[in-house]
Amino acid sequence: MHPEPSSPSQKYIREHTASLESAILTRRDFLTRTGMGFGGLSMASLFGMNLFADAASVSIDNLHPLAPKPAQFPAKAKSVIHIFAEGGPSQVDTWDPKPELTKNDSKTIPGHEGLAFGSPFKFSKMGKSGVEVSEVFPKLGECIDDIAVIRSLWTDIPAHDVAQRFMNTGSLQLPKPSMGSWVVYGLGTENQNMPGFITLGGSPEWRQSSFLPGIYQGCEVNYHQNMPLDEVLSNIRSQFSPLDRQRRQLDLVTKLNAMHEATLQKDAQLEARIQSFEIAFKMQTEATDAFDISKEPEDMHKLYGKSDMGAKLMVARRLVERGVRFVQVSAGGWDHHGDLERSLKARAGDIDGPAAALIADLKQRGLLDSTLIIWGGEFGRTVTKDRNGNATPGRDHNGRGMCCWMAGGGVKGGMTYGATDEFGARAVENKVHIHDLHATILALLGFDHKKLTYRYNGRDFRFTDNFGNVVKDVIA
Amino acid sequence: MIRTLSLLGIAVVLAPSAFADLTPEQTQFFEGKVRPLLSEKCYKCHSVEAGKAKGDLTLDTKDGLLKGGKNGIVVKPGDLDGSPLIKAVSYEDSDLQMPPKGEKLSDPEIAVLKEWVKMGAPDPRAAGIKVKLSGLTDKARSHWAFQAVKKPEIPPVMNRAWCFTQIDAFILHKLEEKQMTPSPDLQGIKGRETLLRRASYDLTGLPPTLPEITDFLKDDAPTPVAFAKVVDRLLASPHYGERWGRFWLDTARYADTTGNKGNNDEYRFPYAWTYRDWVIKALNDNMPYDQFIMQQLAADKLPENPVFNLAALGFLTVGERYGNPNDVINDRIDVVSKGFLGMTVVCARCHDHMFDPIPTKDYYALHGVFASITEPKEKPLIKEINVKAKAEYDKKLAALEEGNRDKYYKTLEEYSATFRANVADYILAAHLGRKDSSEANQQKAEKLADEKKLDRTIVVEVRNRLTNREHDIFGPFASFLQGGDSWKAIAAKVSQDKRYNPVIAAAFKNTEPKNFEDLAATYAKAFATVEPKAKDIVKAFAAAKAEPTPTASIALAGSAKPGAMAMSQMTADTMMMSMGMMGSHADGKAANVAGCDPALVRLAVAPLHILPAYELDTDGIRAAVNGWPNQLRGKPRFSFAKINELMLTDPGVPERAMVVIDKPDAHDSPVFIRGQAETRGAVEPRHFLEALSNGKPQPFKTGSGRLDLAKCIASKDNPITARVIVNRVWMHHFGQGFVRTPDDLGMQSEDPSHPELLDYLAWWFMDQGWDLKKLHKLIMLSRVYQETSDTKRQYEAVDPENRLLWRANIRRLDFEAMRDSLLLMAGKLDAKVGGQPINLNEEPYSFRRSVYGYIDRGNLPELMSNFDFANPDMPNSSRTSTVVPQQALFLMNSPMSVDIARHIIARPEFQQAGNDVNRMLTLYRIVYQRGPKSLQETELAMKFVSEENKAQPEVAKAMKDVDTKAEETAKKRAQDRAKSDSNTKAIQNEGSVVERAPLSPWETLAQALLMSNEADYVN
Repeated sequence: MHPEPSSPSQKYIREHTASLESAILTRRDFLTRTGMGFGGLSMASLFGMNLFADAASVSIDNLHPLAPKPAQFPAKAKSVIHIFAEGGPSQVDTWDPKPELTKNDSKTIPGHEGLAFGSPFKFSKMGKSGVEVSEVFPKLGECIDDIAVIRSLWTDIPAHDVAQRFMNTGSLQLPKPSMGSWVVYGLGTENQNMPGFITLGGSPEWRQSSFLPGIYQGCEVNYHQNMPLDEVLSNIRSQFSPLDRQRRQLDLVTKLNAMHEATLQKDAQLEARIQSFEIAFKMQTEATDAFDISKEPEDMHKLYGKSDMGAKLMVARRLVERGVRFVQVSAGGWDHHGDLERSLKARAGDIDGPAAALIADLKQRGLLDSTLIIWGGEFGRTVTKDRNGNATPGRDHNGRGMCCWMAGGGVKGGMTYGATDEFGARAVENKVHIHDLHATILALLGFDHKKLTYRYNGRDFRFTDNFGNVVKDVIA
Repeated sequence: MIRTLSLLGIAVVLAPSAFADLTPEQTQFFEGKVRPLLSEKCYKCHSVEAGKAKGDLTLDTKDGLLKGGKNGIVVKPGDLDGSPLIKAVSYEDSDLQMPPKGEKLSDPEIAVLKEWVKMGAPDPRAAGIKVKLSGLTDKARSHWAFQAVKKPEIPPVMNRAWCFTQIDAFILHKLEEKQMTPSPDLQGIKGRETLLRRASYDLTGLPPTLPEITDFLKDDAPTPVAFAKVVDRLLASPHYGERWGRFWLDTARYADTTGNKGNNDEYRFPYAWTYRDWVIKALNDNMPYDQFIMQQLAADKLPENPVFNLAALGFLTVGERYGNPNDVINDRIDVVSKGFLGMTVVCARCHDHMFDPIPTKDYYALHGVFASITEPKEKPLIKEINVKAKAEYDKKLAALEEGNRDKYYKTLEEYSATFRANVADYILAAHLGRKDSSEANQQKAEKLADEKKLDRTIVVEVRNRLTNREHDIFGPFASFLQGGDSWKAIAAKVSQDKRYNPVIAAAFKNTEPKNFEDLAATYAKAFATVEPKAKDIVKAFAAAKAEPTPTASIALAGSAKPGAMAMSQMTADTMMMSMGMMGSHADGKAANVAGCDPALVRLAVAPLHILPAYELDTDGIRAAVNGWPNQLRGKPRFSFAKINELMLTDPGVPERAMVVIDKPDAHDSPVFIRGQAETRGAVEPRHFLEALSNGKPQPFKTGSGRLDLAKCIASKDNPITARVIVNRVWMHHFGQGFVRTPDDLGMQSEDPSHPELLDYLAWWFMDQGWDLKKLHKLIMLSRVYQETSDTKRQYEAVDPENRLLWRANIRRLDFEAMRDSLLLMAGKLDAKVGGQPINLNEEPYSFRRSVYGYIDRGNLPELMSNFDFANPDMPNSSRTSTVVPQQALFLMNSPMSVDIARHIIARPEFQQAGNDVNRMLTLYRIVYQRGPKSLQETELAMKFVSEENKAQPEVAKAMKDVDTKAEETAKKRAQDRAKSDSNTKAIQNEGSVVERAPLSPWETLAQALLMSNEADYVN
């Protein structure tokens, strides 16, 4: 970790309160600190069991729900940047070259309606690994030795809303907690002055905590280049009082609280609430600072490309650097029913430079090993032509064959996994279902997806429902 | 010899000895040696009796033993090596060791099992005992919550003088057992202040007002007597229903939206709020709880029921809607079983309940009930309408609907004209592009479609019909395609064929087509003949105002709108239409009304269908447009969102109830094996849960069975209904229930802290006519309710969680109580009860109570989820309570918090306080509802104010630039919001955004008090 950025609020931070270390209490610390032994805490919560998740008993998970927690087993990935390419990027134009399809362009091919649509893009071998990459990703191609491409991904229903929900929550229909919510529930977060799960755009469904406590919900920052800093998080700055007055006000509150507690049984929640104000105070400067890319040197701006997507991924890096556990960046626009050659290239151009910069930047900071980057959409596309009123062709939805890539966080680089059929339409070899991808992501973070559970309404729920197999081959 | 039978996918292994008669020696051996061994060492984890079937294996029945477990058979008679049982007990395999964890059997014991297997594993136990994975065992059946409620004896206590009520005896008895004494009563001025605050929050979710405090403190009667008056006053307050109604709405997973973004036009429930208002009113009216249940399940079935009560059925309908009807049924079973019965019945959807005595059959018995209900399109009116407001509303709605109709006819007219002009090309492109045509032809088809800019959806629609000889328009083409005769002969035949559209048929008369181009040209000619009449036809439909006579009406009070049946008929028609734009759909009936020739109509509006104006209200257009090709659908900008907003926010909207009605063909459901609708088991008659029916559930008789179900639940014979509600009421008064999982009183719940008291209260509650207000009063007038919350060190060690109630619990305010308190303290609380949902979260802030907030389950506002609002997707009778900095940020920085602080300081009580000490005391009274506690407290505040006075110029300077910009942004946002016609918009408060200007020192002090723990907790 890099040294914490110095902030103007530093001088107001009280020595005895809410430094990062003291805000994060282990269970044992907590009991010692509040001097209350087992008081107020159920036995279940002490032993890490959430027996009465819906009971009124105060559980320590509710007091410091975001405190960092160890994973179930050692793993490299500590944080995640999920670049969600909503719309359904075409696999055969991006990461899954199909010469056989090109050969049959505009002809009928067995098993498909309509005419074959060979990719208009060239693929070439890149990096030491020689993985073939489409010409639409020249810069990512240069990073290919850090990237594992999954070519045999598939999903259940190729309709946008359903498949997007599925990719992000593991559930086709019913609302379930999102990937980020599960991860932060499992691991807590490293920086108590920041939300643990931040989304830059996207549907509320993709960040919902559902039945997990509300604090695991993704905190949406509708970030765009040049956004005013006091708008990034709600209530993050006072528009009424300067910091020094807030500090004095908080000191008064602390004294009032001490008087209030005097006759009461030591209560973990009362104590936690006092802490939460100190954390909030610090958050005011630290959280906004994370979004302030004007503090980045010019060469960083050049590296990321000075575009909106570049700014978003630079922010993603700054967040991860500050200990945010899960960042989701919405990078959509891939629903190319027509006019694919032009518009897919444009979309790819938006993400290519910034994503490559993100990989390189994390690498040079020594953070790539601990940061898992995932790029992918909700489904793939057909290998035949779809026009939908467009003069030049595009492709229709297809759930049977799709692709994604992962980099960093203990992922093997320079490899491809699985394969689609000769035309690229269906995953056939080493198929990876969305549940499998989810299981693999959790495994990279140190979780057995079958054991990361939450008891809700009398049942233990998992991110992967009753499914999922870890793709061990992509884990270094 | 082993035979494997596959029955429903379950492998059943039948061994020889399963059939063979056993010798007395074999029986003796099993009973004497094997059974005791199995019983002692294995049954704990593998028996029906214990309700445990680890690895899906049970050993206490013959069937279970033979069937084996998840990993296959366990015993192969006569074959030691082939019997995993022997391998497991011998600890040969490190992955399969039984009993586990080193509890290995002794060598002689292992020898017994080996010998038994060698003998052919004789098992004299009767075959045919049903193996159930459920806990339908005696143990599960005997769980306390499923036993009849009997009045327990009031226990003896030593200190009888302490007891105010029966409740106190039960509490004191337990304390005395541990040699503990209760905490002192809340008495004197400070005690009364605390007691009043506690009671006010408990019953109304609001702190006491200043006059209420004064009244109680001035009352000369002894505290218990004076307090009884307070309880009566609070129970009579309309705020009581708002508070306790909100608790029930958590249980009822209430929300104003379906949560299903996939269906945007119908994303909102326009009338969910009438259910919310019904709940509030029912509680305020102290409707007996059994009635409260009956209404929510079967209001439409109760005799002489006032129409307003139909809103109660919202209990069933306000749940989430995600496509699959079985999920909606599941949601309804869930809310009924958790909400009323504290049972997790939905666990039995895919398999028998793992712990509770709920077989899958019970689930599908209820499935049949909810599969037999439907929601009428036309929701019944439940309230007298305000004639003037309604007229205004109707005018606005009519204008919007008229606009939509104009767009509909205009779009249709243009689109069909283009189709007619290109009909030959459509036919050729469709013909060439057939899947069986050559590659060259397919490419030609593509090119043609490109060049002529044909709508590809329609090309496909035409293509799908070109080979159908029955089709009224394309049948002739199919006849030529099929051949079998000269094309001249075919043309002659076709022209006489009554199956075909007469205009098309006539066009082929005396023709001799040579090729497909000729055929296409003939079609073009036929379509051209309607060209001069097309506009008039559309006009005639647009003018068709006559309504067909209603043939039936929905059997519900208030469903007064004539033509309800015409509506459902129309829906059926549109459904047909959505099966394909060119589908042979007869526009006959409507054509007659419009005075047009159906054959001409068909060609004049092809490839679409046309509906007469009288069928095109908002729902009608929506449904019709759903059948349009994708590209066309988005073109006219229909004012659906605007209409949606109008329906949800206009004061003239008639109140309607989100009812359900029974389907005429109520039916039982089959069991879905493993919860899969595709694999159906035996049909299960509709009935109530077996475990609550003395083991003999009676089939439901009336309609869907909702009324029977309601009667079974709201019955004094039902052991669990009263326990569940009494436990919840207790929970909200004391911070925790006797059982701390209020929606699950099953086998997995902890034992109640006071089982006898729970039963006593359940009995008493029913005995007193299910009277909730009486129950509150009994509880609150008990001495245990009036204890202080002060701690006693020596007791903390004995009972740290205060399960025995040796003191009062301190309790944190939930989201609603927190927000509503702020409004009350500010002197701004809008006491209006009921109405359409309002925007709670955005400036300008609403002063309505939080219970009236708009709840979008698909996008819960950040403020609400930060403050632990209950997840509205499932029943939740208790909320989690997290402590996170976002909550602190709200109180520190939100414009609302600042606004409240300003309003507090602006209150006349404060302004007229005279001097600083009085000002300060007033402030404490407003925020903490008490007088000063200590000198130190007073000094602290005075010092703060005086220092902030000095700092004020600096503060003003520091904030100068920040506020102007921020206020402009806030204003702009509020304006944008007011203008938008998003279909997720709720009623917005009128008024202005919060002024961005530095707080005064006193305002800063007021805000500090709001931020403190004392303001957020009830002692």
